[in-house]
Amino acid sequence: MKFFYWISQTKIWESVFRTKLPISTNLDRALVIFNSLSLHIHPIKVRERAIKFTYTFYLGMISFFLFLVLTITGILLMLYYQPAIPNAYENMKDLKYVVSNGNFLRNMHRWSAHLMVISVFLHMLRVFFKGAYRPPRQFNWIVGVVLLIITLLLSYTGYLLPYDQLSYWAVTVGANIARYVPLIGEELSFLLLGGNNIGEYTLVRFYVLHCVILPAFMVMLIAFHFWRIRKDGGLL
Amino acid sequence: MKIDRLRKIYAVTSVLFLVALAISPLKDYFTEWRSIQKNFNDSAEKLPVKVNPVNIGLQQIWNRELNTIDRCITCHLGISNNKLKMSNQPFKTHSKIYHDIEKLGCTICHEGQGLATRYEEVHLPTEFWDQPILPNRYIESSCGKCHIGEKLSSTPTLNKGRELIEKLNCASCHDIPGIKKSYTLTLDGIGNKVLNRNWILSWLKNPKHYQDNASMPNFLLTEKEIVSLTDFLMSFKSFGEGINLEPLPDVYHKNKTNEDFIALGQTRFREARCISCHSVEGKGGKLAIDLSKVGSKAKAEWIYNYIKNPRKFQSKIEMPQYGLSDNDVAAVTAYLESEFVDWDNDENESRDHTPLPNFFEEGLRVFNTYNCGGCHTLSAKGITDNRGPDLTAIGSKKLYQIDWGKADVNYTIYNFLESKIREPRVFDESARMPQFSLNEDEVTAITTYLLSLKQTKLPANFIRKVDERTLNSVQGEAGKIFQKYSCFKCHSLNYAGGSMAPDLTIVGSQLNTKWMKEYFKVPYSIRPIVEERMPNLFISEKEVETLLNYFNTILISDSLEIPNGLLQNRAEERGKGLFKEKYGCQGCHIIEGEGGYVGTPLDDAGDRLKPAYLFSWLMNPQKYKPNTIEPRTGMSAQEAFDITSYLLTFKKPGKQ
Repeated sequence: MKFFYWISQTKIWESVFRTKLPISTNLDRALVIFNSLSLHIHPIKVRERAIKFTYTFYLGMISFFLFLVLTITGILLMLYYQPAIPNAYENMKDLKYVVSNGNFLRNMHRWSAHLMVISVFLHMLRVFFKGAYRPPRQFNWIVGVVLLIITLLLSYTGYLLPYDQLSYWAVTVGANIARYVPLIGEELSFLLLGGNNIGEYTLVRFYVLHCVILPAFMVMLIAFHFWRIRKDGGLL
Repeated sequence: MKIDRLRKIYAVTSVLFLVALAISPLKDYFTEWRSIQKNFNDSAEKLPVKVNPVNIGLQQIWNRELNTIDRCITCHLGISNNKLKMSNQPFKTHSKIYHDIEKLGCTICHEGQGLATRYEEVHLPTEFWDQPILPNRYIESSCGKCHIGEKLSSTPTLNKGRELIEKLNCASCHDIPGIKKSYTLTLDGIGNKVLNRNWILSWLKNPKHYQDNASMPNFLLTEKEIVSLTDFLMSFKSFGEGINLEPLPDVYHKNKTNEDFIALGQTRFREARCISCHSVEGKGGKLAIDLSKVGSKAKAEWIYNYIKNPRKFQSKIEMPQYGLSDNDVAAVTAYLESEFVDWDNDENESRDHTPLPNFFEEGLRVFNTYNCGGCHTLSAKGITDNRGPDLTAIGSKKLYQIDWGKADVNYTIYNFLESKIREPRVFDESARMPQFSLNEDEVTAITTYLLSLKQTKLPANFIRKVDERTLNSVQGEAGKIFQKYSCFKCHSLNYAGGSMAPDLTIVGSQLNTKWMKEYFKVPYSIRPIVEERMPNLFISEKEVETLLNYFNTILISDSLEIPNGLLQNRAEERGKGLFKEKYGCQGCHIIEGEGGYVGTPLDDAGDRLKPAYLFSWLMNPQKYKPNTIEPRTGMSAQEAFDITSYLLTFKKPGKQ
């Protein structure tokens, strides 16, 4: 106990946790929330009903948690993956047959991705039916819609990476849909595929989108989304 | 109280979660291959011979050139361990092959999923891999991926498949790389060749009814199609521009029932060894049609003209043009007309037949539908080329491109090919491919060959392709003679060509000119146990001269010579001792009337063989004939010289 007390008085502890121990006043309690990144998502004052499970079903938090799982498993999968032909498909086989727990990683990544799309969508429904898109939260609603689109794009770009028949034709369909965009359709499809046909450059393009560009936007917008929750007066 | 309950729930879910997390590593640990390797180590201890246990762990063969990774050796631990020949799979030693299996890998030949490590996914067709392990009966198809057109002695099935594909003339309807459409009879003048339409009717119904070894398959035509096609064919009376049947000579009309005349025909028929190629009631060669009923099929006039000059009617037929006189040919015709008759045939049956008004259009339609023009030429307007699918890469045809119909087979490429060859209309009743009558071995052989036609990008240094230009290299006068007598139907040149008779690449250095001259006059079977012999082609003396000149100037080897510095005196005596005692040559060869029947008799070796060749042959027989059974004894040059000297003393009396 003495040791713990000593630790809590060190400069390192102080610079990390910022709150002076022991906590005795209401101000101290408010400061704990105020100074913490993970706790200050909620505003300082929260309605009791807003933190009940049946009010939000924790859908936003579940989505965020799945995103974390996806990031961790995704980074581990990147260690075994080369965005090249025919290596990409052979890497899938290696993950399945040779890499320790490789199949588990891949399945985790895949199921989390499916679940994330579902939970993000349900989250949107919940917000819609509670009327939380109305002012002053109208801007955060828009951010949320963008996050939904990014979630779908992440799913779509990840679909090509195993480079099997399923992914090949899924991306072919996607590129053909892009072709129907008026005026810039052809160029858009060319930009997407990195050429006129699906090939190595498409694979690299989708890989970079899936692993760098889209997750970066995702992280920034998630942070912004959370910050707005607090600024707009908490959950509704 | 409430907090306690929450804590309990938290604790229980945490434990459950940890247990769930343990599933994956446990599954990894208790995997199939690990227990197989342990099993190997356990059973290795019990073996009478010492087999080293293996370290537990995944193993693989990585072939950089082919860019393949095969993990088969993780379980197939004994493939290169000779002590495990008697073990059961998966530990059995690999059968002996010419390649280094540890470098080449497995899937290049056996197919299957080399990357996988679970039994079903490696060996069987699964959702994500449609090329299961190739059954062993087709394994030679993999040899054919690199050894293109090479007739290796270790690939009998593949070679047989290729021969069958050539024989059945598959190339007339399908594009098959390296296989040329073989020549098939033209139908021009068929209306003038056959006695009456009955023969064509029964032939079209099923060629096998007329002749067991008919090379034409059964097109399973309907009765209506047969009638219109027959009438259509019967309307072609002309053999082509300027080609007419010569009338039979008077000598034929005068003597056609004369027994002596018929007997002369029979003698000529026998001397020319017509049955080397033709069969008579099933006995004889299988290269040409059966002659048993030819007298009831073709007009006597046509037979006479045809024997005189087959290429006048069938420009590229392999039948040689015999140098027989008109009288002899007429006698042979009389012989055929008197003996080779179908006694059951009723000639008068269809005398009064009147064809339907639209028989020509209808017949032409049938002719085109079944691509008769693919094999047979016919000078008629409106004949179209209506080929079947290209088979260039049939071995890698995608399974989703195949229409399986209602056929009850496992969906693999080899099942598709085998079923299709066995019963061409099994997947689709309206298919056009005709029914061949093949036994199971033949079906397997053809399937094997077709499976070897893959669209794989193998490195260039893997490919061994036979040069097909050799046979056309014989030019000029000699080339014409080779052509006329169809020499390469039986003989080969640089091992390309027929496989029935000896290779002629260095014949000029092997045989004495004088002996060859005699041989052309009366060919005989050199080995007593071999029945086949060269037919008497009645080649004229001038032609023989040309051929011998060609043999002695072009078909020779420069590397045959007897080295200097060998003991010359008393060589024959020493040779006799070596021949009879040390090497026991008489086990196979006859000399002085005694010896075995497997090798060639050597009583005329001095007449027949040239010294340098005989010497070189003794030193290394396989160099000159790779599949000969004569052993390479490793005798010294002096010994070979002595035996050569001894053998050269044997000459037939009176032929000096």
